[in-house]
Amino acid sequence: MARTALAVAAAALLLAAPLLLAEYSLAQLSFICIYVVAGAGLMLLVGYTGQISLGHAAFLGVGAYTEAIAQARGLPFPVSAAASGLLAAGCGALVGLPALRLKGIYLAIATLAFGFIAVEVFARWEALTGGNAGMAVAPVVLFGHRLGEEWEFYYLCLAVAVGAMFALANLLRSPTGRALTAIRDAEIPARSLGIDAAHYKTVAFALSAGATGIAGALYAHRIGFISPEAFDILLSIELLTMILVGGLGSAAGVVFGAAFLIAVPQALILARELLPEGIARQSGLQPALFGLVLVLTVLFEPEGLNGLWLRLRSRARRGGAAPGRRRAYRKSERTP
Amino acid sequence: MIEFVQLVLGGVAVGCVYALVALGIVLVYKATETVNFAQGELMMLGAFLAVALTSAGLPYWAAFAAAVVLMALAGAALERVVLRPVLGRPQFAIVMLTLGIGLMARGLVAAVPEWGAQTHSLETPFAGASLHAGELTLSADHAMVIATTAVLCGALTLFFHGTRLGLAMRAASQNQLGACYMGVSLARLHSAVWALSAAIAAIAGVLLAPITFVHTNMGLIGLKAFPAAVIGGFGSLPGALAGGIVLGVVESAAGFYLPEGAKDVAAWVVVLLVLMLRPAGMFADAAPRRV
Amino acid sequence: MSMLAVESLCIAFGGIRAVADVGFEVGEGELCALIGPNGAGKSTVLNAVSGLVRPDAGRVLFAGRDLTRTPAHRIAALGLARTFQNIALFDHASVIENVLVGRHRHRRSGVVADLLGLPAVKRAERDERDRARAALDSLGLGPQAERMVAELPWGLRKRVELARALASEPRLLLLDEPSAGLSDEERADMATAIERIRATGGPAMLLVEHDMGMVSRLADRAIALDRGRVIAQGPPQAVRKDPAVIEAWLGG
Repeated sequence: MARTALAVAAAALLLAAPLLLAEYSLAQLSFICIYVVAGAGLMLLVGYTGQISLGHAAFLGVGAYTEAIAQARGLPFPVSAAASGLLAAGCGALVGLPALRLKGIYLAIATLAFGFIAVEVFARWEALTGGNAGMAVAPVVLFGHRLGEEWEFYYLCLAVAVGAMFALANLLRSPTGRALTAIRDAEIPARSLGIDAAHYKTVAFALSAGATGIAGALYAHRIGFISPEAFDILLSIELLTMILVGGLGSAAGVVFGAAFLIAVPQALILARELLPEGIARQSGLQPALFGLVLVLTVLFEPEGLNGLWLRLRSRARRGGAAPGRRRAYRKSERTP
Repeated sequence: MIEFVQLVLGGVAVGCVYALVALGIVLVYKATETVNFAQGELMMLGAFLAVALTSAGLPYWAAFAAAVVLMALAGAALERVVLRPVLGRPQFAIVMLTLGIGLMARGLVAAVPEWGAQTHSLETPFAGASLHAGELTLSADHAMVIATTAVLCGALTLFFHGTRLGLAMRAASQNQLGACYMGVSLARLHSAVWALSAAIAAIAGVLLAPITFVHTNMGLIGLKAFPAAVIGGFGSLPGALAGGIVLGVVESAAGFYLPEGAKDVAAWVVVLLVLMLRPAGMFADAAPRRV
Repeated sequence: MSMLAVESLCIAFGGIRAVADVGFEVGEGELCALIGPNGAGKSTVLNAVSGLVRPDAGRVLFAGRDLTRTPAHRIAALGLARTFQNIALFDHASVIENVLVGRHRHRRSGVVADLLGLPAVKRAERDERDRARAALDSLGLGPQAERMVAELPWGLRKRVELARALASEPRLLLLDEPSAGLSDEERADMATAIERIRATGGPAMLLVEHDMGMVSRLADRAIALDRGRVIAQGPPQAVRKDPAVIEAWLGG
């Protein structure tokens, strides 16, 4: 009952956001929605399939460039966004190939390599991408209507984010989702139950990259101007930070993580007004803070914000009783 | 021909820096099974320390030595405070932890008012000098890198074969209990390995400083040590050295013979090829695992 | 035709011969036990049959079909299920979800349908859950269905693993030490459960077992291994009294 009430309240707030928030805050909410889409993809791969990717920003880039180029060629948004997703998914399947044979650190390095190569391709394929000069991206045109207002674009992002979360939830309740988590938890027994681990890892990479590509399409419109260095390794690390801080292996963690990723820079902007000028002007505050949160999360709260939330909730309900029956997946419990 | 030799020499010099960073990564990986993505940032910290010390009036060599010693202490402290509690945790958590340490290091250096987001140069006593042999020219900066790397490798060889701590490190890389048989506690050994690794990173940073200048993004150069380590077989110290030097030469050749941009991705293309073509041959245990 | 035929199987690990020229058959509906001292190569044979270890020589035939070079997941899809000596459950899932993974080879929907949550997927899911529940109920695990496996005691986990293997409706079931780590009472329960599986027209079974009482009670035939070789096979009582077997047990 309480759950339903909470869900209804959240839905009402999200729908009413354009009435409640100033344009700037609404834009931040759109960002959160976009990160939720990418986060759902990355969570599927890292949190539920147990693979690692240090190159996910490249998939966001593939989606963003595909969208920008397709829109400039006059393709309607549903087509160009689908193309962004499909092209990124194709790249994902390709990057997933090493995953069939590589594990852990080697897979991490392979995905890192892909990330660097992709950024270089964005920068050098000037005829298509405009090279280092970047590309301006016009607002979305949907069924002949130009989504020029912030609230129009926000509803589009919200719809896609809700769709992505539903897809993630559907998948996790299905044979495919069970196969993925089985591979994560114990690959050899999974194989001996008939699960083709190679096939499902490729599927996980493709789906993950596809979702990130669609997020990239929205991202391109949101920032309005894309250039290669926007999709570098630091963004890949940010995306991983999002799902780790949100809570690995939990769908709610995607939302928590996305909110965190957007809230930190905003909090810093506010904090700067309070800090002495010498410190406030420094550009290093944000990476330092992300790094600190990352370190603290791994050390003290491996289940992330979702774990924290579950614990607080159960404490509030039962005055410190045991956490919810279904605990979030904890990487740390895996034997290496 | 002379042009090619010149190219190779320059490549070897830069490759030595990759090799040194890779050496630190492999050292820590072998002894503690931690993959340190912050090694490049340790290199950057070493370089900044040297810059700060020279601008405080210390002569180059004294600043060099002090930076190395300070970074060794910092490495041991890092192990003690941050890495030890997560020992034995899965690789992903540790990768994220070291990435976090790297971000913090970048952020903190950028937040120091004097250092900031600017580019600094390290004053060396041999600035502008160069060596000549016939038509070949080797700048003193490059010569310094190659010579120091060679001396360091010699010293490390002596250390690993001639001292109890060095032997314990080698033993531990085979088997975690190995160090105990040598009468060195694992905790102390891990601290020592991190100290050594951070010291090597500092040396790499000070050597690289005159070539690329000192800035917060130096750590990204350090990421190229991973391809070097993989090419060399991830887990072998001589391999890491060879991998780094090969990579430096490949990069410098790619920069000269291939179109613009090839230089920057050469390392990554090479490592992808190695991973795709010889994933088992170069590093995986070839023996079938019992289930 | 036999359900399983192992022919001249040889497997070496880094130069050490774990299995040398092993051959035996398991007939349709038959329950065979692989016995032998530790290190005799019993588990290795099981791993080779289920495709987790590649033999260096010899063949494995499943219902007449050569599986020697077939990957593990394809073998499972053909109707071979197994359990593991040290229990290999998916710890971050509930009991029923573990059993549902056992149903994987019967899945009907594709990835895209799963992603969209199509009505057909939901229908199939309800159907699968019913079957998984039936498998749990048949082993008396009904009340545990929604619990996380990590919370269960060893004895129950052992049974969940059996239920997961059964849920795949295999034609051949490999059990790697079903009684390992169980109390006397739990052993008896496990034996009863296995008997019930047979009584209800269950699959042919090949089990690795140390407990000779259990072997005598359950097995139609026993195959004794020592240092990678078959040293005796036949009815359990006879194999037990075989001089070579007694020698191996005492010597081992």
